[in-house]
Amino acid sequence: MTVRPERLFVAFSWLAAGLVAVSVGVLVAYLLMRGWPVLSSALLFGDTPWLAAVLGSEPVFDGIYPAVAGTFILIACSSVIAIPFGICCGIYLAEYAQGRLKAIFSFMVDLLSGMPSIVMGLFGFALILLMRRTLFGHANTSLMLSSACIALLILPYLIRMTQVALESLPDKARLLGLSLGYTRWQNILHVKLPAASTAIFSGIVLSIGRAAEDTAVIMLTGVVANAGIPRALSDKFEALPFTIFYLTAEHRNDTELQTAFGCALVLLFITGTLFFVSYFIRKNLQRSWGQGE
Amino acid sequence: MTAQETAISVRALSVGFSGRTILDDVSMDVPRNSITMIIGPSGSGKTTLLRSVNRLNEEFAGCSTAGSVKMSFSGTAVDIYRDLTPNELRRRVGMVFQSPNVFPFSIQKNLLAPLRLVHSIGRKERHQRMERVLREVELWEEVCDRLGDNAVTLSGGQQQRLCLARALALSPEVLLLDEPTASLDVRSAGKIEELLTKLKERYTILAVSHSIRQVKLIADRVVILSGGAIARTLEHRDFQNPGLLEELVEEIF
Ligand SMILES: Nc1ncnc2c1ncn2[C@@H]1O[C@H](COP(=O)(O)OP(=O)(O)OP(=O)(O)O)[C@@H](O)[C@H]1O
Ligand SMILES: [Mg+2]
Repeated sequence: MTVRPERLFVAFSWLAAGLVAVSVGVLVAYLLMRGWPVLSSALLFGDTPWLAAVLGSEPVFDGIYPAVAGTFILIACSSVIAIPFGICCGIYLAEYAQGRLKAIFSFMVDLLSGMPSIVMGLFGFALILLMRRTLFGHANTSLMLSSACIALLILPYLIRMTQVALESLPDKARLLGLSLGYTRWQNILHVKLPAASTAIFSGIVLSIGRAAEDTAVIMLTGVVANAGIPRALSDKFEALPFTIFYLTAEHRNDTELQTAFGCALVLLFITGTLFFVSYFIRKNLQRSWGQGE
Repeated sequence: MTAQETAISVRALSVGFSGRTILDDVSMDVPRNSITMIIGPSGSGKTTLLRSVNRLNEEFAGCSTAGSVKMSFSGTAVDIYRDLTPNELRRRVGMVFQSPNVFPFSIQKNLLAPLRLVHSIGRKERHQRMERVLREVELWEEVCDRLGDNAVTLSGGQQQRLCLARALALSPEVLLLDEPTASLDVRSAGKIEELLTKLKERYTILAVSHSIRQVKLIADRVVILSGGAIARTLEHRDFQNPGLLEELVEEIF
């Protein structure tokens, strides 16, 4: 009997898709099984009343709330730095950079995206050492430093997504505004960016996900256990991935390990929510570009 | 026939992409307030010739242009490659693409946004112009109650008329039309042809066509392009001889 190659290929593709689905299913099921029992307000806030904890009037000792808050703050700070730079850099590379300069910049971005996060962390750490020995004797690892290093880590995603989104627009879309007499800048702002917005937005979501889960960078640049909620950019902070790491690494009994699984579930929930929210924002973004005058 | 003023004069124009010559030593004149039509086999460079008149070829990497294109705006001739920026030029030269090319925005935004961005026209006049041009291309009745819908939901023919309306709204002096009736049925095509004969009182029209019937019906001058060079230029009175144009096309294509 001869098996047609197409059959074989379809079977393999089917198997591959199935394998992915099963792996994800098993992963989530296991996380749920281990984490679900400890999910409660006590996991987040310990003995502190939740309102007092959220308002910051009472510290939380036994809960992971500071880590949750820390993760959100870290995402916010690094996004504020990286998103404007990333998008503008992407626009520059796609629209303005030419010849050798473009090649050099592109190489730099590639280099940056190939940088392992532990190296980024090491760089941040070394920077602090240098600052201490020179002008800033009091410089220390902090939320600010972590945010900056995380921003550096996610920058290449943002740059590349923006650049590729703009460069892969079809000629038709590229030429239309220009043929009507739009200036180069008007064409970028009113035609190309709207057309590329979905892809750029995907880049943002991806990079936020990356910022939420990275552990190596923050471990060397400012995260500590039991720091509480940071009050200033120069404070140390907690973050979920790090909490998971140290709970797992140093657990003395099964309850502590259980807590780590609870943490993991919360982190999964946060990133899941982010993706979900971004989906709706993206929908609305498309609609609002299309309407009006 | 009275000697007409020349609106566009192309001299020794050659256009190449990455070293490949597409247009080779093309010279032609387009009289003011008339319809000049370009016909020729697929790939003969018709679109490229149109694009060289609003300098759109330059937007492709590896494009090189030699020769000159002069245009006369209110009496004075300017070399569009030397005396104008592409942007200044394109504000005076409207273009409709070969396949319908709308912004993926609402129907009204397709018309209103360019008016705001290119001419900074106020809100009230923008809306007046929108209605006027939509009526002109006979699209108003079809879209007046769905102006907020996305333009991509229109049929191909409706989109093409929207594109024509958009070009007209910007009140250019020259209209470049790349097969404006290609995706229209006979009836809508007929309407557009009628419209074009009316429009030539106000604009100079340079259009690509694929239909001998259409050329005979509305063109004042026809340029036959073949392999990137001009094979023949015929005046209205020439190609009215029954069979002449058909014979030529048979021979050249
Ligand atoms: N941007 C470009 N880059 C490279 N080659 C191009 C480009 N635009 C056009 N060409 C080439 O120039 C030649 C003429 O193309 P053009 O689009 O002008 O033909 P046309 O006469 O309009 O054909 P059709 O009737 O099919 O529309 C083709 O061989 C095409 O491959
Ligand atoms: Mg063409």
